[in-house]
This record gives sequence, structure tokens and C-alpha cells, in this order.
Amino acid sequence: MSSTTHDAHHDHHAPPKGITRWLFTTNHKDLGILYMVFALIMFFVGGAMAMIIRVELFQPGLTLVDPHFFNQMTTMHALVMIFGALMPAFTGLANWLIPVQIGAPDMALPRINNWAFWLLPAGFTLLLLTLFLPGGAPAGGWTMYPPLILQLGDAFPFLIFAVHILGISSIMGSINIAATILNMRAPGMTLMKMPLFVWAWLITAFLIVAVMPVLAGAVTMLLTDQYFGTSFFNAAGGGDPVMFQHIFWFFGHPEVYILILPAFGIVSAIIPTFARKPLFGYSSMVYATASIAFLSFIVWGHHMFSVGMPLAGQLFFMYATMLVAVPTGVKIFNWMATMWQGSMTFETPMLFAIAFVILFTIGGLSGVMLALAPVDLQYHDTYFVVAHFHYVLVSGAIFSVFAAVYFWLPKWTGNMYDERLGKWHFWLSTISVNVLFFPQHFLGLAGMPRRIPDYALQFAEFNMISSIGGFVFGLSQLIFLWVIIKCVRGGEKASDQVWEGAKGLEWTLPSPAPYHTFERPPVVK
Amino acid sequence: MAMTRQDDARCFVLRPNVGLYWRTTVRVYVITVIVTLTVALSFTLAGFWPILPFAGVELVALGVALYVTARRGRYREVVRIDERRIEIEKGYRGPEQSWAFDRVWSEVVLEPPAHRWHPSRLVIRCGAGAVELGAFLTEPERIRLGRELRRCIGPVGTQSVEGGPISEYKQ
Repeated sequence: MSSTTHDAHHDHHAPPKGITRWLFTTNHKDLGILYMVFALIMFFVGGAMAMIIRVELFQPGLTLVDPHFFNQMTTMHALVMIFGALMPAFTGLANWLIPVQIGAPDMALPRINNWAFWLLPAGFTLLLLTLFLPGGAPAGGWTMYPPLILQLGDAFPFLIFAVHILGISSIMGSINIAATILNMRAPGMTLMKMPLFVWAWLITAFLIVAVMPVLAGAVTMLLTDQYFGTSFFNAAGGGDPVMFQHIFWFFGHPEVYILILPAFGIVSAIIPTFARKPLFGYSSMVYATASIAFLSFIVWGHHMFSVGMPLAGQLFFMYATMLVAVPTGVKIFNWMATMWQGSMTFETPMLFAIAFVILFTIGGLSGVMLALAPVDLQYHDTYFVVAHFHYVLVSGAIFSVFAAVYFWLPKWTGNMYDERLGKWHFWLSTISVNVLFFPQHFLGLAGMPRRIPDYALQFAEFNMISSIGGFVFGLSQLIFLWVIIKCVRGGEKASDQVWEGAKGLEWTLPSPAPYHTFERPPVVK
Repeated sequence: MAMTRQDDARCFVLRPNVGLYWRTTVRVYVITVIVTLTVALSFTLAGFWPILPFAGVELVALGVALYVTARRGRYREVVRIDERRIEIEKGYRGPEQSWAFDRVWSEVVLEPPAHRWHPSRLVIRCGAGAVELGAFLTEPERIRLGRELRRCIGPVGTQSVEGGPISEYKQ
């Protein structure tokens, strides 16, 4: 070497090894795996909290935990499952699948992708540590209504900052997904050729970007009301506590659809594969998804009929909410029409997808019941609501994640999963989830309030049945964990296409998919 | 991913491929701004102004992120080879780092990855100094660049390329 004008940066491009690979990775597949592993861990953490709830409710009386800790469990269970399990699971699937489904080499903003993921463990560490603070973890419900939430002890600022961190993570993730889908599609991959999972995520990403600042602003106003003397929601200072509910649910209802739209995309990929028919009504599915997203902005009032609102407001929110049934019905019809006279087989992903269609429809129908303002006054804050949203989010959203994992696991690992164990997982989960949640409809209709650790004796039988269902459902998830571990460690080698009826760019890749894919864009015809 | 070679000057210009075109980026950004500000301003008009700064921060962060991503497309690595010297420059708007090696004592090394998932590394080494090239290239492009560089550098010097012929490197 004769001379250097700058000290050579010798080896800083060395390939990452060990833990650094996962800490600093910008590879979409690595980050997808990280998201999904994190979601799985949080699923079991949130599940453990659910088990505590169901053990306490197994019999009337205060049997296991004190009421304050019970309230912490109901609140934290919701926060962990929504922000820690479901959203990261879908973001993980998006990370892994969207680039390979649209023929892109990676996500548009790989470093932000890394940052978005690592904010999640930070946020959840902050949130879960509140369990050990004086006064305990948040116990006023995941909706954080004032003035109750302002009675929280030292955990209050931790809760607010954790929500902020998780919100930033969600925003970064969704910005990345939107930019990737819009700008990095392979030649020929027009918008109306994109897989429905990609479409669902594009719409979801815009929902997240639109509503997350609303959540951030709402919790910050709680913070300033508590510590800086403002009165946004303090009636004594001229504020309005009910406005928090309006603002929260302006975020919260789109959030519900953030949790279900990607599930629609997953099911729309799986059913045509195992029915060996193209998806019925592709474009109507796209428009239905967009319609549901639009409607999600104008139905928030149905969460708060009981606070008192003008008749015109009740009518508006009631009819707008019932309108959601129209595009949702289009989707359910299209899935059924896709299966109609199809050459169907019933592998585990298909079983979960079919269960999704049936059980999500049950959740949707109870949602229509809740949309009716006059009767909602009876159902409000009862176990009927608990049954409704668990049918939508457990046998809906979580079942779709199960289906997705079984469907794409061979592509991720290169190995087929154990079909026999997969079917055990399906049947135990499907039976137990109904034993767990269906009786809660009856409990709610009979008047049992939600978020209570004790109850009147007439609710004892259904609660015991529900708890037994909960225990079986919880245990059956260990089968799911074992299936994944077993598949990662080895098994029958998967072909590139994996499933006979599978269509799409990801199935043109080898199994397992290489670390870098579509470095040269494929041409889509 | 683009890699050009100017044969007469023995000059290689390497630049990363960027999927985000600036005009499209701006379009996406404007749509996002309109939607987000509509929501935030509505709440602000109702008196709940703290939503607006968050929307603003979100939009600024988005704008910065998109700008930084677009800037990545300006990165260049230039390798000039004459009979005696190899000059390497790296930078965004102009040469921000540069190296000069004696061609006779230089060698092109394609280091195989430590793991099959990781990319290989293409390095020009001279004595104790080494510079990695084309870390952003795809694997076939990096192998092709290594072969081209060896063709330019190899016949003059007497050293061999470590690890055998570059084309034999198995991904």
C-alpha cells in the first residue's frame, strides 16, 4: 500500500454473527421471525394472565387472588394480547411475506424496520415491570378511562410511556409496509394483482398511521391532567371525561379492524389454495376491505351508547355500525363461494381457516346485536361483550395467525410440520374455544358484569364450564409450540410449492426461502 | 442494483439500487399528511390540541425517514485502476473516503460467508490495508465484480487470489 488518505475501515462490514445478527439485522425475514417469536412469547404471557382470570372465576368467591390483582390481570391481559401478541404477529407475517409476495428484495426502510421491532421489547419491559411497582400494574381496563385510570399508582407514567413506545413501533412498522407495497412491487405486479394479504396490510397500515397520533394525544392529555394541572378530562376543571371515551374509541375501533383486516387477507390466501379454485370475487374483496376500513372511522360511538348521547347520535352510530355487516357479509359470501364445488382437502391451515369463517361469523352476529342501541344498554359491560370480542379476536384473529403459521411454516423452515399434531391442536383449540366463550354469551345475557373477580351464585355453572374450556385451550397451545419447535428442528422436506393449489410469488422460491430473495425483480404476467 | 464499468478508464462505479423513487415517495407522503392532518385538525378544533403535535411529529419522522432512504441512492463507490495504482473512493455527494494502493501488491479476495444466510465480502487488500467493495450488491453481482477486478488487477501482479478462483465460490 503506497498511501491512504483515510484510515481504512477494515472489517466493519463483516457479516453479523450470533446475537448481533438478531440485534442489528435489517433483513425482512429475520425481522419477521423476531416479530413472530416475540408475539408467541407475549401470547403465552397474556395467556398465563388469562389462566389466572379463569382460575379465579372457576368458582364463586375470592379464591386465588385479591380483587386488585384480578383487575391488573384483566387490564394487562388485554394490553399484552392486543399490542404484544396480535399486532406483532401480523406485523411479523407482513415483514416476512409482503416482500416475497410482491417480488421485492426487502422492505423499503430496513433500518427503521429494525428499530420498530426493538422498540417492542423495550415497551413491554416497561409495561410488565409495572407489576412490581407500588400500587401494581394498570388495573383500570385497557381503555384507560379517566378518572379511574388517574387513581393508578406509580405505574401511571410507565403505562403512558409504554403506550407511546408501542405506538411509535406500530407507526414505524406501518410506514414501512405502506412504502414497500407502494414502491417496491415487481414489474407487472399491479395493485389489482396483489395478493389480498398485501391489500389488507396496505389498508391496515394507513389505518394505523391515521389513528395512532390520536391514541398518543389522548394518553398525553391523561398525563398532563395528572401531573401538569390541565383539565382536558377533569370535570372539576371544566373538562369532559366522556370526551376521552370519544377520542379513545376513535382510535380503538379502527384498532379492532387493524387486528382483523390482515386476518381476512390470510384466510383469502388459504381457502383458494385448499379449495383449488381462484378466490371468488377478488375485486369485491378489495373494495370490501377498503369499505370496512372507511366505516371503522365513523362507528366509534357504538362502544359508548350507555354514556348518554342524543337520539340522532345513537341512530347514526347504530346504522353506521350495522353497515359494517354489508362488506363483511360480502367477504364471508366470497369465501363460501370459493369453497363451493372446490376440490377441497382439509389440512390444518384449511381447518383453521374454515373455523375462522364460522366462528368469526358468530362474533360478527353478536356484534350486530351489540350495534342495536336499545338492547346494547342491556348488554353493555356484561360478559356478552366479552364473548363477542373474544369470538372475533381469538377464534377470528388468533385462529387466522395459527392458519398462517401452519400454511407458511414449510416455506420458512423447509420442513413440513407434523400434520397429526397440527390436527390435534386444531380440534382441541376449536372445541375448547367454544366451551370457553360460548357460555359467556349466556352469562352476559343473564346480567353478569365483566371485569369482576366474584359473582352471584346463579353464574357458577357457566363460569366453571368456561374455565374448563379456558384451561384446555391454554394447554392445547403447548401443542402449537411443540409443532413449531419440531418443524424448525427437522422433518419431511417441503417442496418449493409446498401445497398443490398454492399460487403466488412466494411459492416460486425454494423451501426454505433463501436469506435474500428477488434481488432481481421477477416479472409478473 | 447497478454496476457499471468503463473499460477504457478501468473505472468501476458501484451504486445501490433504491426502490423508492423520489416522486412516488413524495406522493405517498402527501397522501399520508392529508389523512393524518384531517383527523388531527378535527380534534384540535374540538379543543384537544395535543393530538396535533403528535401527528406533526409522526409526519416529520416519516418525512425524515423517507428522505434518508432516498439519500441512500446517492451512495457511490468508485474504483480506478491504472498500471501502477488502485484508487478507491466512497461517498454520497463526492469522495468522502479514499484509498490508494500499489497495484503490484494488491489482491482481490472474495471471502465466503460465515453462514450460508450471510453475504460474501469482496475486499481489495494491500499489505495491512483492506477495503470492502460492493457490500450492497447482490451475490451474483459481487462475484462478477470480483472476477472483473481480478482480471484488471491480477495479471499485473504475481499474487494469487485467496480461496481459489472466484467463480468457484459456492453460495
